[in-house]
Amino acid sequence: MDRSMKIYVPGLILFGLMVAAFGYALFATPTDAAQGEVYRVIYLHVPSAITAFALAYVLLVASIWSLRGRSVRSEFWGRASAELGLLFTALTLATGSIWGYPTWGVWWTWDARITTTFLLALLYAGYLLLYESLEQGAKRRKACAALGILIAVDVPIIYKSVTWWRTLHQPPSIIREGGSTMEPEMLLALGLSFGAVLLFSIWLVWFRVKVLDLKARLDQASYDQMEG
Amino acid sequence: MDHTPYIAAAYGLGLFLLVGYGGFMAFRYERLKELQATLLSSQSAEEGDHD
Repeated sequence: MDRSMKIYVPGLILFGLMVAAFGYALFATPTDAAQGEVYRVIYLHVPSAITAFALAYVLLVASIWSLRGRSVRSEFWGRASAELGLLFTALTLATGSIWGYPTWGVWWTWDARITTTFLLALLYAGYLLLYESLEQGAKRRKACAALGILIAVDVPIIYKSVTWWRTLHQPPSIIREGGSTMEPEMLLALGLSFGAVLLFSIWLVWFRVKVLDLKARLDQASYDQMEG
Repeated sequence: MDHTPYIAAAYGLGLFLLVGYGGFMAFRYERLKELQATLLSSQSAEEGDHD
């Protein structure tokens, strides 16, 4: 195999595992007695949501690292986690909407869980706009780090929204007092899907950081050549 | 009610976004590598001229 292609091998393996996990969830789990077949969307919806929330904490760590260490690489990790965070939040909202129509009869409602998740998407998009609108330096580092920390604050609000307010969205059914309400087979399929999506998303963030790093080195080299 | 179109739409969109994003990033990475190689070869050619 070409040496340069080796960089893609872990990503392709993780993608294959994710597709296999979805295959298991779609074809080897029982049908839900109350919702019917459409409940199978949760094997994509829930892992996407938890990944979007987990990336907010990657962004939090990158923001703190950025403030303390002043490393450009920390900014790349912040930028990459915000970009993937936006992608997974958008996927969460879209799959939730697709599941919501046959279940609730509406594509969208300004329910507390959906609204706070929509806010997360706006915050991620705001972070990317802020990052792109400022020159690299102390100003961008501090402004993006402050917004990165604020984004992490939204995650516990999203999680608690179904218990703090009366919502259309169902309350927690996995981590709750008295144990999970899901069948063990469904729980296993959800765990496999979640693990696979999370691992693939970590690889995507790592790869995005590599692209940003290479772009920055190339910009610097071009600048040095012009100066020379 | 047949739920197959909803399930297909959700997974189709998910795979489209993930493959699209990953593919686009791989394309950008390869393009940047090419540019880096061009830059390095032009730098070494310039150094050769100076010699």
